Amino acid sequence: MKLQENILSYITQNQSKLWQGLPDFVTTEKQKAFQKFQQKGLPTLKDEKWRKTNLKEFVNRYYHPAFNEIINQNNLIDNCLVPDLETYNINLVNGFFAGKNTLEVLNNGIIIGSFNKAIKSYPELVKSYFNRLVQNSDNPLNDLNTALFTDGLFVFVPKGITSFKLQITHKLDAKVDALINVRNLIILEEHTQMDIIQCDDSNMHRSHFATFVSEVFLKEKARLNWYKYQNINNVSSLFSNNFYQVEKEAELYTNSFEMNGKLLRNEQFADITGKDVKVDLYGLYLADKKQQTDNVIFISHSSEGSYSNQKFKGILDDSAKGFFNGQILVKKDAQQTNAYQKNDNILLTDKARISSQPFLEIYADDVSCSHGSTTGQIDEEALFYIRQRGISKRDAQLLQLYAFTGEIIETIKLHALIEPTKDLVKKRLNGELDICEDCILQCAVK
Amino acid sequence: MNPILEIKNLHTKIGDKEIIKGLNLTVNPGEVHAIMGPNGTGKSTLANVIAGKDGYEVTEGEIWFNGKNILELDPEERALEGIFLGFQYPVEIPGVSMTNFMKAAIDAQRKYKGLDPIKPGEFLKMYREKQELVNMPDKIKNRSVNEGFSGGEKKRNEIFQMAMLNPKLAILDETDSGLDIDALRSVAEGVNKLRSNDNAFIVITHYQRLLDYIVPDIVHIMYDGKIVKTGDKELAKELEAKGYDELVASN
Repeated sequence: MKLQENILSYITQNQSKLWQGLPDFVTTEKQKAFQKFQQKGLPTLKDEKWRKTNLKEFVNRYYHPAFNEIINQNNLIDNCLVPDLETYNINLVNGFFAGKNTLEVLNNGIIIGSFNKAIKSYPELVKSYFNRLVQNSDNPLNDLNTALFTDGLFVFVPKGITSFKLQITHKLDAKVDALINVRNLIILEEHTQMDIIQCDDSNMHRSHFATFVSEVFLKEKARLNWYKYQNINNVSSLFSNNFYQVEKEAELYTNSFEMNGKLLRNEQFADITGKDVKVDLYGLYLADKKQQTDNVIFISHSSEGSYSNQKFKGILDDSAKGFFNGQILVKKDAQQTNAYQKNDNILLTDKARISSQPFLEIYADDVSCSHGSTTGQIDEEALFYIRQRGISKRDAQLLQLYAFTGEIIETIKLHALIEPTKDLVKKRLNGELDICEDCILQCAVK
Repeated sequence: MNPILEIKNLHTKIGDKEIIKGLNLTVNPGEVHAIMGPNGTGKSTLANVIAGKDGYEVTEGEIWFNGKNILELDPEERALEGIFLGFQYPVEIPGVSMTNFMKAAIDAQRKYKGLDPIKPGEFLKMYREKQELVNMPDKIKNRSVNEGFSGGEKKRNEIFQMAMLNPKLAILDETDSGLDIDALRSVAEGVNKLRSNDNAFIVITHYQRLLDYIVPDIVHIMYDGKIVKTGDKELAKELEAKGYDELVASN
C-alpha cells in the first residue's frame, strides 16, 4: 500500500517540522493519532464498515502531502451556491484557510477563521474542545486527519447570536495528486443559531485523497442547519466526517446533496447528551459511471425525551455503488426516545449496487423507534402511464426520478436554497452537470 | 371519409399465450364504439396494444391510425399522434403534481407540433376550463398524480386528462368499474361534452349500465380474443338480458 507507506515515512521524517509551533495539547493529540494510525493503517475490505468500499484505486497511488500552502488567491470565490444570500463566505483550499482575514472577531463576538490561527490565538478555548469527539473514533482516516491536518475552519458563536449564515467553499485545487486534510472546530454556545452552506468542489482533473473532519458542539438551545453540496471530479475521493455533541434542547439539521465524485463518503456521529434534542439528518446521493457514495451514520441517545430522524435517498446509475450504514443506539436512561431511520434507493441498471444496513440497538424500554430500507427500479407501470400522455421515455424517467428526490429537497428550511438545489438536482439527473475547468458548482447555477 | 382506426387481423401474444386471435375493427370519426365481453377475453390487452405498451407481441396483423401504421411507434409517439388511453387502474405517481404532469404533457404535444411551451397563464386558464368541464374538484391540482385519490377521483381524472389533451381517439378501459352512479354520471357527462365529428371513442365495459349514459353508435361483443358480434346499441341491451353465454352460443 503505497499511500500508507508514504504517509508513515513522511511523518516520521518530518515530525518535528510538521508539528512545530503548536501548543502541547495539539501535538500530544497528533502524536497519539499517529501511533493509532501506525497500528491500524488505512481501512481495508476486512474492516466491518469498509467491506463495501474498496480503496484500492487510491491506496496504490502517490499523493503529494499538501502541507505547504498551495493556493491561488485569484481563484477564490465569494460564494458557492447562492449569490444573492447575505452570508459570511470563506474558502478552504487544499486544506488551508484562504483569504485576507485569516482569523477575525466580528462585532457580535463571533470568532471565525483559520483553525491553525485559532489554535495559536485562543489555545485555552480550543483546548477544551479539540479532538474530544474524534479521539475515540474507530475510523483510521480520522487519526490520519488528526495527525496530518494543518488548517481548517474555526467558528465560535457566542451565547445569544441567532442569525449567522456561513458559506464554505471547500476546494480540491492542487496541481498535483494531493493528500489533503481539513480539520474544523465549530462551537455554538447557548441560544444560538447558524446556517452553513458548504460546497465541496474540485476544479482539476487530478486525483485527490481528502479528509474533511469537523467537530461540532451544540450547547443548550443551539440550532445548526448544515447544507452540503458535494461535486468533485471523477478521480478524487472525499471522506467527510462530522462529529456532533448535542446538548439539552438543541436542534441539528443536516442535508447532504452528494452529486458527483469518484468516492464520496460521509460519516456523521451525533451524540445526544441532553433532554429534548432534535436531530434530523437528510441526504440525497446521485451516482453514476463507476462512482461510489457512502453514508455512515451513528446516533447515540444518552438522554431522555429526544428525537432523531435519518432519511437518505439515492439513485444509482451505470455501475455506481452506494453504501448506507445507519445506526441508532438508545442507552438505558434514554427513555421516551423517538428515533427513525429510512433509506430508499432506485437502481437504474443491473450493475448498480446498493448495500443498505440499518441497525437499532435499544436498551431503554419506553421508546419509539423504526428503521427501514427499500431498493427498487423505475416503476414501469408509471413510466407507461406518463408516456401514454405524450411525454418521452427519457422525460418520463426524469420526472419520476426528480419526484423521488423531492422528499429530501422539501426539507430545506432556507428558502433561498430551494431553487438552486432543485436546479442542481435536475441538471445532475439530466446529465448536464459534469466537470468543468473552473468550478463545477458555479457552472451548475449559471 | 377515412377511418381513424383500422385494425386488421390482429394477433397478440403475452409470453407464449395468444390473447387476441384475429381481431378486426374499424372506427370512423364521430363514432362511439363499445366493446363488451366477459373477463379475460382480451379487451384490456387490445387497449394496451393500441396504446403501445411493452410486453405484448403482435404476431400478425396491422393497426392503422389516421392512415399511419403505428405498430412500430413508441407509446409517446402514438399519444402525440392522438391516441389517449383512459386507464382501468390509473397509476399513482408520488411527487409529481397534477399541474406539472399536465404542463409536461401539453408541452410535449406542442413541441410535436412545432410550437413553443404553453404560457403559464394560458395553461392555468385551460386547466380551469377543463376542470369545470368534467367537474373535477380544484383541490386535486396540487396533489401528486392519482396519489390518495378515491376510485371516483381517479376515473374522473382520466377524463380530465382526456379533456386537456383533446385526442382524436380515446380508449376508455373500464372507466365505469368501481364507480357509484353519481361518479358514473359525471364521467359520462364529461365524455359526452367532448364528443365531436372529428374524434372517436372506444368504450370498454362489462356492463350495459355505462351505455345508458354514453350512448354508443356501434357495440361489439368480444369473446376469446375476437369480436364475435357487432350491432347497434340494442345489442348491449340484448346482452344484458341474455348474458354472454347465450349470446355467444347463438352466434
